[in-house]
Amino acid sequence: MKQLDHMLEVKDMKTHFYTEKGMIPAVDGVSFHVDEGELVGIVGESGSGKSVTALSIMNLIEQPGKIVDGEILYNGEDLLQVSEKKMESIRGNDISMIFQEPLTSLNPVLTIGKQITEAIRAHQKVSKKEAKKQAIDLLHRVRIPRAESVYSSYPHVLSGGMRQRVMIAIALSCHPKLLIADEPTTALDVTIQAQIMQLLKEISKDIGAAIMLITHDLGVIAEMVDRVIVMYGGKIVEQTDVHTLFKSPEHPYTKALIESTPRFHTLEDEFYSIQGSVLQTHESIQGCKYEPRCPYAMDVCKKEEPLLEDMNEGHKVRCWLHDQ
Amino acid sequence: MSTTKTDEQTDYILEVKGLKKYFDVTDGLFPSSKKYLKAVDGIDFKIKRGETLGIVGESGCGKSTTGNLIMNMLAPTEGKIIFDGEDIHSLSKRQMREKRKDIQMIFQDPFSSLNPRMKVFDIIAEPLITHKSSRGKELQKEVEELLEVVGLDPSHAKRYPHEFSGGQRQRIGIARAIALRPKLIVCDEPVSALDVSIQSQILKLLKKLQSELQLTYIFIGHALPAVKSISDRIAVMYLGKIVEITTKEQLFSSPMHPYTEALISAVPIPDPELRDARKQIILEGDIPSPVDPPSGCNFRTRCPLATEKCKEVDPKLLEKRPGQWVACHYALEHGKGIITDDV
Amino acid sequence: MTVKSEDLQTDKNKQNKEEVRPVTYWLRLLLKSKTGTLGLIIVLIIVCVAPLAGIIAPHDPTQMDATKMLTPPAWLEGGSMEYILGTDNLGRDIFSRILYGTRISLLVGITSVIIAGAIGIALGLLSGYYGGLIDTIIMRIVDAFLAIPGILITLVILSVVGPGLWTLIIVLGITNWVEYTRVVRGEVLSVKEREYVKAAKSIGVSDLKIMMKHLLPNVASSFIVISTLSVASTIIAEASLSFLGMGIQPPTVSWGVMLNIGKDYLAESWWVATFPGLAITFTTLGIIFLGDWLRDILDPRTQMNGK
Repeated sequence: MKQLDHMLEVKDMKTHFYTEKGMIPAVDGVSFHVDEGELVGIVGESGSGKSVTALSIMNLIEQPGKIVDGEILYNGEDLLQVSEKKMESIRGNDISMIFQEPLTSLNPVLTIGKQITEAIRAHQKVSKKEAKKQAIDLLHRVRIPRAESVYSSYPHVLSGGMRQRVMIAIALSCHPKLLIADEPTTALDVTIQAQIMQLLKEISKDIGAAIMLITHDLGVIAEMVDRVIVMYGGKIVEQTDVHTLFKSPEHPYTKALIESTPRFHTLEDEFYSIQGSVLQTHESIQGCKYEPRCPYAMDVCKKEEPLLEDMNEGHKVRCWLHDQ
Repeated sequence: MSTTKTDEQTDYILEVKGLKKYFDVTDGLFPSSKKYLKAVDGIDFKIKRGETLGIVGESGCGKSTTGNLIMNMLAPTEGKIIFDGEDIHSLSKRQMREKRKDIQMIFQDPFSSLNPRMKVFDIIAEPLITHKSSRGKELQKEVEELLEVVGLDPSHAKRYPHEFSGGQRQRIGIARAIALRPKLIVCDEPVSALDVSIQSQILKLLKKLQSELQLTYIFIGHALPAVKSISDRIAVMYLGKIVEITTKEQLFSSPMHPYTEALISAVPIPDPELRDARKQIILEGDIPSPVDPPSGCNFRTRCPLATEKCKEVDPKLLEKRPGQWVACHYALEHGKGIITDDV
Repeated sequence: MTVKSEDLQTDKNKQNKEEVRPVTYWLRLLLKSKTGTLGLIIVLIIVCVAPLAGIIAPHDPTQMDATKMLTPPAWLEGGSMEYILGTDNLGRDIFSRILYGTRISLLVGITSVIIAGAIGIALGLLSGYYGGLIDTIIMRIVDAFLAIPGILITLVILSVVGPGLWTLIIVLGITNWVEYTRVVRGEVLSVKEREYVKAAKSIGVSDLKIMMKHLLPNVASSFIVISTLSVASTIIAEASLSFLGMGIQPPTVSWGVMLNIGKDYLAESWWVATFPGLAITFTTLGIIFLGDWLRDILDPRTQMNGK
């Protein structure tokens, strides 16, 4: 069957948060897949549910959140059904994740070397010496100069870019098949962001890992990925390959997002802006989530939410405009 | 225009001359020598009335310190900031309080820039009350007008900041900044904490206010696209120094400093068709620490053109082309900007 | 699909109501915490009993009766319903004395906390906001106070000036401000870096106004919690000092004085000391429960986790 071909397949996943102020459907029925070696981007603004999607796949959702429905199939096995022990081994060996803020993801009281070798030895039975060799190898691979001295230093002496490289090294320590990168460059300076993006591209080529890149920046999407998933209000609103997305976006939100990104590479200054702001997720509405901001809103949009439908080969859109 | 002043003086609302700010970061009980963080290390620029000067650079370049010096939140180590013909750091406390009406600031983080325990009305009324410019019914009316000007509903005055989204909160901050009809507003990364679609709304609002209220802006930012969309001229800073300052058009069509070129090239372009077509310049290494900057030219450790000369001689900011000031021994002869008008 | 959205709609309405009436919202939060509720009930009882002691108490707390000395509590042999908790060595009703004792405990607890808080918060604000020399001086004074045991200073002052109700209150006030200063200063150091403080400065707002309007309300949650908890510790301090004979002097009724009297009769008439002891325990426990609950709801970090 075709379905089994996908390395990762998420089916109708729902992650809800139960807070004092009521239930927040942060991710509300999301389905997509990632193939081997593919670069997939998830783009959306804050509150769109893109980060929660990533954490859900890693099964790292904490109280008061809960994955309430759906399946996350990794090579055909539902990650929501496996034991915590099995999940731990998958988290290191098969799927790794890097985060936006590398400083908080590293333990401040352990040396870089200790943290990398720990990750290596958690998943492979190797001697300490072998682990150190591998760790220094990894530091070289993420283009860290003076790897030996970085190996024995503590996280706080490194710059943001260096820390992110270390995080990538740890993520790569067990040869993952899928690397989930949640806004890996957002906290970094532009010139450092360019370095890290180049590194991620090289890595995916070198080791053939698939990368799921989560970002709010369409520029990063355009530079990096093959296929794009656009999220809004906890749902996928559009999904297609990167070229089609920028050439002929179909969902009004995608269009607005592309338009509102400053035309940096041309001299014209006019920029378009979307009215209103991203919905707070608990302000739920009956119909299409984007309806209050949408310039093309029709009567039906208020009443009922459209489904994510196939327009043509692989291009999916959730909008009533494309129902006909 | 005043007749006693020469044309040159009246032309500029703000002049910054040889501005330096060093922070003492000497550590240890018995330090062998004093250590300084050279946040701003000798910068000069002028701003014409009604124009927008963008200041762009990466972390540690001193752009925010520059903003704080202009706001008189910090005292400079050396140099002068001349606003409307007066050096603001030589003013008495009382004179400075008066002057504050003319220089206001818009902040980066819309969540920390509004006091969570104050209602929107009180936040916007605070500058008016402080300078006793209005009270009672008049104050009420003025606050409501300000809310409308920035695109908020006057009835929102009774609410607390936490009830608003980031973009709306930034509008409240803007209303507070324009309440006293200032002449100059220092915008310290006002859109970098906002979502892309909201950023353009705020930039649009700033542009509208500029023409309606004849404002002069200093727009500090780390993201070139936002800075570009609002500025007339742009100063690029690196490690406490201005490396290039020129008009927006010149900067993007023919940048002359290799750092400017790399900075522009590093910005991801939202067009996948250009992904492989263009050659991205990726700088090696990290930004050095401003406590211990490299000898000679600050940028030489990452510069693809660096030579022995750059190690020894610190390049001066010189006018290499009309209106384009560059601090580089080997300013790029033919700007290789990525601007392509045919896209 | 539609049905579910409607559910959410009602959810949203509920939440709006809460925002409109914060008191009910807080009360609901309180009722979720068992210890918090218990604490509030105990504190409410004490606060009601103190002014009403004259009405509730069956006897005059100072009225002696040589015929009823050391009567045991009602449920023991020889006890009577007239003296529910028995009488002390001079035949005074223990129950009535405990009721009257709440007045002194609350008076000492609250007044000295107000004195300590006022000194501590003011110095903490100055120290944190101005920094530099002012900060150094204030913090060195704080260090000095921390280095000397508070009870020792208290005892020294009380023995020099002589014991008495107001002396006690003032002494407890001026020995307990240190904690406020430290906590408020710490909070101010972080709050003053927020951009709204910078905004106020750039507008030209005076330092005093910045401290009162921008800093104080935003550090309030920290000292409200300390104040609550230190009312409890001050009540204990008052009792201990009175027990030692250095605090409240008879014939004023205080739990500490009662303990002092009771200590001589522990073997044969345990009730004389036990009931005032229990009163102290319940009161302080109630206040601490309430304080802990306040800390939980005032701290946004714990609020997030608190399901």
